[in-house]
Amino acid sequence: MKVLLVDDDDDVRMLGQLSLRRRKWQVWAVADGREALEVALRELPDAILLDVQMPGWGGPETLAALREEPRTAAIPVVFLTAEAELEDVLRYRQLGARGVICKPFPPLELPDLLLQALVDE
Amino acid sequence: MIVVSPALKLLGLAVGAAGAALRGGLRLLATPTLFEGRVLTEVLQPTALVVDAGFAEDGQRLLLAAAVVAGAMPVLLGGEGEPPAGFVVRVPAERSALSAWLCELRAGERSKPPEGDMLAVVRARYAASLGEKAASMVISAAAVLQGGADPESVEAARRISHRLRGSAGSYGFPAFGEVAARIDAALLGGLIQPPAASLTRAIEILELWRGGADPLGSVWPRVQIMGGHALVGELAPIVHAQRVEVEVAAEAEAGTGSEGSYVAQIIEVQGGRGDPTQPDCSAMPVLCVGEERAWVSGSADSFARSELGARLPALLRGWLGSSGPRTT
Repeated sequence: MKVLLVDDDDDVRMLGQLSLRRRKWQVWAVADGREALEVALRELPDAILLDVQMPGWGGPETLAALREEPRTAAIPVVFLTAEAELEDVLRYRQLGARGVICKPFPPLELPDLLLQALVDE
Repeated sequence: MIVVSPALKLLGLAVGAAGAALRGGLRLLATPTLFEGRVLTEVLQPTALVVDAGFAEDGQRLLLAAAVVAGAMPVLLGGEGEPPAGFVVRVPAERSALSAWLCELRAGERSKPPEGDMLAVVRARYAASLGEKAASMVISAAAVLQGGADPESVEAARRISHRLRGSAGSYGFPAFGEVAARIDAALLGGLIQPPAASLTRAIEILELWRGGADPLGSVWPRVQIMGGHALVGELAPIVHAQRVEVEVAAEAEAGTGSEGSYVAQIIEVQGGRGDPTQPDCSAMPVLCVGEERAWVSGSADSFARSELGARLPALLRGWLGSSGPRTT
């Protein structure tokens, strides 16, 4: 499994990488949407974990950019957010997110939460 | 060390018993609420967390979790028998036993995370930076709460609280994450509405260590209280929130022991209005607390006893201002 983790918070990236790598997954972690697009085009991950609120390109803008690129358009994207009211989740899904994982997440459960979100479609 | 008890008498007993230990270099912070106890423990990472056995099991477990993640020794206060799993020891809720145990307690080395467990390592690193993160959040949030902040400052404050809201719980600091979430939510939209009382209180808690990288190791000015456990338990958290130590004096010790080093004295007065007997403490403000009224000795004004909690912070700030700079 190859996962791209996008979050502007160093602490979340650190914990997320550790958690995902415990499953022997290949993980790239970047801090902003533009860099995420570059890495996604280069590495073609199996899934992208994408923070909603980031300076510059936020999650929705990054998702839109990924969808515009034919090579990354089909990569499933799961949003990471601290604000996950029902209307937010519905809105994110309408934007094309495969699922939503709430922050703070239990670190050891992050891989399972991601897998669940990918299956839940 | 942090003591959490919903029973003010027990809280006062613990504060009173801590006198000798305080002189040995320990600091005790008292709080009657579960939430504040968890936040203080998570961020201050004290040597020990003393939990009233009167808390329900759920509450005890939440406090225990905070102690474990903060590397604090979890101690149960009161009750009988072996302490529940996770608690290191049960200390009787009795002054001499508690005092003896406190005198044995010294700030010890924190346990190191197991080698090879990177999750524990990054968690320990996060824990070590939590005081700095809290100070950063509270400074920026307090500036906004005071009003007049420009939109950029509001956005910067919100960015800090939003990040901590998202990360603290994952690292094992859920109560602190909840404080960050409250601040984040309040800052959303630039604080159009006045902040809720719970948010204001959260800010006050965080201000305990604002500006101090090692607040438990710094020196605080002291207030001497002569009164019953219930009064001490009621006032100690308010006094601590102003970064002032509480020392409890027996009647014969009032005004003595550390002459000249107290910011003020608080004396519980039995019966009606009138100054209590004060052994040579005229240079220090004396707050008299009666059954129905409270007043500052020598002042013509008095106020209702029920207003004491609300008025004490301002009184303390005034006394601190007249007694020299604060230490943190």
